[in-house]
Amino acid sequence: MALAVFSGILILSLVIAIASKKGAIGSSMNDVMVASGGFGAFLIFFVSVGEIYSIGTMLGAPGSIYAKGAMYGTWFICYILLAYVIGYFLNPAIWRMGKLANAVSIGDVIGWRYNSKAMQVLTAVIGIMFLTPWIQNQFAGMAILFNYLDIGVSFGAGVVISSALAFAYIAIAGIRAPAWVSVLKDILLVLAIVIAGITAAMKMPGGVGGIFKSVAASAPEMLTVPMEPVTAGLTFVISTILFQMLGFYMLPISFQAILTSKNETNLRRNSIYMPLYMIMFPFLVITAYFAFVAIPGLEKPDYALLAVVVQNLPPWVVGLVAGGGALTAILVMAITALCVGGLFSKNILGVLKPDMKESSMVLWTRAATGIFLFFGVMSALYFPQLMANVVTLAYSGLTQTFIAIFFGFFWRGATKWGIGAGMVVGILSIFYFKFSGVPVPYGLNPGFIAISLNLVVAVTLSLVTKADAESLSRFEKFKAVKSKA
Amino acid sequence: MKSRIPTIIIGFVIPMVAILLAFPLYNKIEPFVFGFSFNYAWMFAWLGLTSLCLLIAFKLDPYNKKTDDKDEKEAK
Repeated sequence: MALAVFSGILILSLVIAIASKKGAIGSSMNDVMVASGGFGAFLIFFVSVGEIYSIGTMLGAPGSIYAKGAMYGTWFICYILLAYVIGYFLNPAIWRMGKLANAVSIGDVIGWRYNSKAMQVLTAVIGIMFLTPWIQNQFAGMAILFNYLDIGVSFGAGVVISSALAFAYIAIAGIRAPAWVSVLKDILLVLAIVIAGITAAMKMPGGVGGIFKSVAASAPEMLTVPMEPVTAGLTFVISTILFQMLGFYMLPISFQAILTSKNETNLRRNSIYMPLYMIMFPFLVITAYFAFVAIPGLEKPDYALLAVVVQNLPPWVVGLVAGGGALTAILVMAITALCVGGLFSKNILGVLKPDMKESSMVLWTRAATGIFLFFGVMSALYFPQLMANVVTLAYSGLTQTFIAIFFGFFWRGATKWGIGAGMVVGILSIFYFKFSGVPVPYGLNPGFIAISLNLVVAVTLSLVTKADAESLSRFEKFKAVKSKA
Repeated sequence: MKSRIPTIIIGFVIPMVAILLAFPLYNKIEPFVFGFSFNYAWMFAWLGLTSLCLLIAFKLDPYNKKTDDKDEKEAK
């Protein structure tokens, strides 16, 4: 029964992907990557929630609250919520500059603003490097899903089927397929989380209050962020929220989603609805603390949500949750791989071979999407142990582009030398903290320190170098559109 | 052009203060609200309140009026 529901969901998603195809796709980069900027409010909403709420939200969020408590709960809820506040003001500007640059990626925008092919390549390289952990996270989530839920699909088979589906979406309809499949995926994702949360509240004497009273009595340290000494948690939580809220729309996948919009008013309107979609977080928190009280000692904390479902609900609901989880992972894989494909073919190959035809660029995008997924499958099958803490790693690198974008909008005098050197210094300091084993000062998030160094370098070098005439005129052009808008 | 300052205060400053600056004030277990510990109740309340702040900001935002006019013109 579980297997039938699970397979039904995946087949339905493929039908949606085929139905989403509009006309003959294949010739234009703009169409494949950002649907030629044709999405209205409905699809903008789904393409933006579709890619950000991954299988990490469904399994990793309750898992880390189960293991570490409110530090993680506070961090996840606050950074996403504040990212929407920033997005209200930032996204329309990204969209405007994207229009001027005729952009399909963050690499296009940064390369255009600073009039630099090297910046375009640098941004693309950073994007590809740090989106790799993002996709690995989806495979890690699937490993948890298929290993824990015994629905008759092995992890190996699950991974191969899922990546094939992800590739099929992209090959069929470019960005349009994941955007429409996202409607199904997000309904199922929210449904699965709400079902788990309600089950948890009903199984506990005293409901939600019973769960929290019982944690408060047995392990009060799980419910708040430790304040004394500040380095025990406070500095980490606050610096991580500050850092990741800036990075949210710098993820090349979120950035690409902004560019699919028809106009900027829809982007502002979208920011109003986004926090409401976070209604799943109360249910995730309830599930996590229920599991903490009722199912202690799970082999892996990330099993928390699945354990609540499996122990209390019939097989067809398990199939629904498995299908929703797998579809979530597949969808995020598809969008991420497409994004990487575009960064590679347009911002790297396109710069190395400027005479490349657009039709071959589209072919290269598709090929790179497939190759990236293939390497993802291989590493998931052979090195599953490499997958810890990958989302934090992805953010630490991808957020470094924030300085380039922010100064791109507001500071006429920012130069490619300053901004480029800042990004390189930021990335190098991430690697330093990652591999040297040196503890991060004051318990701060390493990415937060990296972006501070990035900022200092960007400002200093920009002050001592001169921007070229073309990048200055592009800045003026952007300003002019803004005041006319 | 009308000032954008009210939009920025309601849509940006208020949520930032309530969620980030007020953190040490709401980071506590009691009183419980609707069964949740106080910090979670506060954060969950701000899911709705942030949306409300952004809605008001949107209504006040002079940038939207201009782009709306332009969209209409383009439609014609």
